[in-house]
Amino acid sequence: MLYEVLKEIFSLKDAVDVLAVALFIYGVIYFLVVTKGLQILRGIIFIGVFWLFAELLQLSTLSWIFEKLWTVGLFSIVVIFQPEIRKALAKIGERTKVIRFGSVEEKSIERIVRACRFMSDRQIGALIVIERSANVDDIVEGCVYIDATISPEILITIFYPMTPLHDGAVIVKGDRIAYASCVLPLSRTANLPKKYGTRHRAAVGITEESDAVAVVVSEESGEISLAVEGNLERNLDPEILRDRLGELLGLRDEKD
Amino acid sequence: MKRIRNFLSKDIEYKIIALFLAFMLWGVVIFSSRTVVVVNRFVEVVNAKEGYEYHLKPEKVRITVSTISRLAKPRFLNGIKVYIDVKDLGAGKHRKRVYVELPIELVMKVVTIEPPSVRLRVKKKRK
Repeated sequence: MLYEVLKEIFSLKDAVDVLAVALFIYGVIYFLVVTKGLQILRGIIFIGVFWLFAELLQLSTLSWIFEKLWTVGLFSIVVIFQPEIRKALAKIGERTKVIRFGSVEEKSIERIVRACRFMSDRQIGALIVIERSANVDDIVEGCVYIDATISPEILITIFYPMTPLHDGAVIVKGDRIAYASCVLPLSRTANLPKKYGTRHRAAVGITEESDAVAVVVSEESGEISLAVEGNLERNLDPEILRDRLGELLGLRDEKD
Repeated sequence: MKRIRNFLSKDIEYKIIALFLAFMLWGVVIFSSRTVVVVNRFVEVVNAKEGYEYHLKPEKVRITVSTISRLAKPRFLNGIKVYIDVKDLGAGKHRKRVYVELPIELVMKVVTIEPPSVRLRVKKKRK
């Protein structure tokens, strides 16, 4: 009888259910550890324990305050972790992508690389964000709609100093320059050397918030960098940039 | 294969915590979803003496049982037994309390027994 009861209560379906929930909880724990939200979690656990004591000792006023704080607290957590939640959801979307719309072609990469080489030689600052599967429209602000075919001439013209669109980022969607003069979220990472300014911080920032890749040309040194998944690959020569973009945009296999 | 091995060996302590929490959560969800079932059962006579006749009124009682939803199925509910203990009871009229025997004590609970006791007439059999 006991075996029958156990079989009825815990079936294979329940094992799958428990494993799926465990995977979700592991994701939350990992997310909290990665985003340094562990301190906040510790704070929540501390408040929880304090609340439990208040309930056990029947401290009615304190319990009442905690009860009221609970709903507000839930909303606060969502607000505090809003960027991280967005990033995590984008990551999930990135892993589950099935169809790729408007993928970048080899010739577009070649044109971006040529523009970067030109601007690097003349120390013209540039920031080019290439969208992959996740849409960046909700992350970027203040953009000027362009919708032009990618060409080195247009890119150079956009970033040429003292022109109206030079300050900000260009967003590339598929084989089109979608926007120019975009303001990107700045990364708060401490890993970025001090010599890099706002442009590099913005490049890292957008790749932290989405799966896009960002090419940066330094105005000070002419150095070309590539930001991917919140990391900056520095001092690339145009050939390496071409290879890396090809790999990252799925045009050729990534090397280990 | 290498990726699966890496995934399994990484952050093992977090995974154990996650599995434990998931199991606890599953337990809370399953064991808190209780349902109430009503069954009618004939009352059995336990410890009956040889040479005596036992007449019950009523012969059937109505039992309300609370159990987890998954176990509210005939094959588990059929195991519910209702009885009265007539040990050391002589001839005459009596009122006896009804007892319920549940097949799975841990996850089943008697809510009500209607009526809680039955009238009993014990007669010596004629030879």
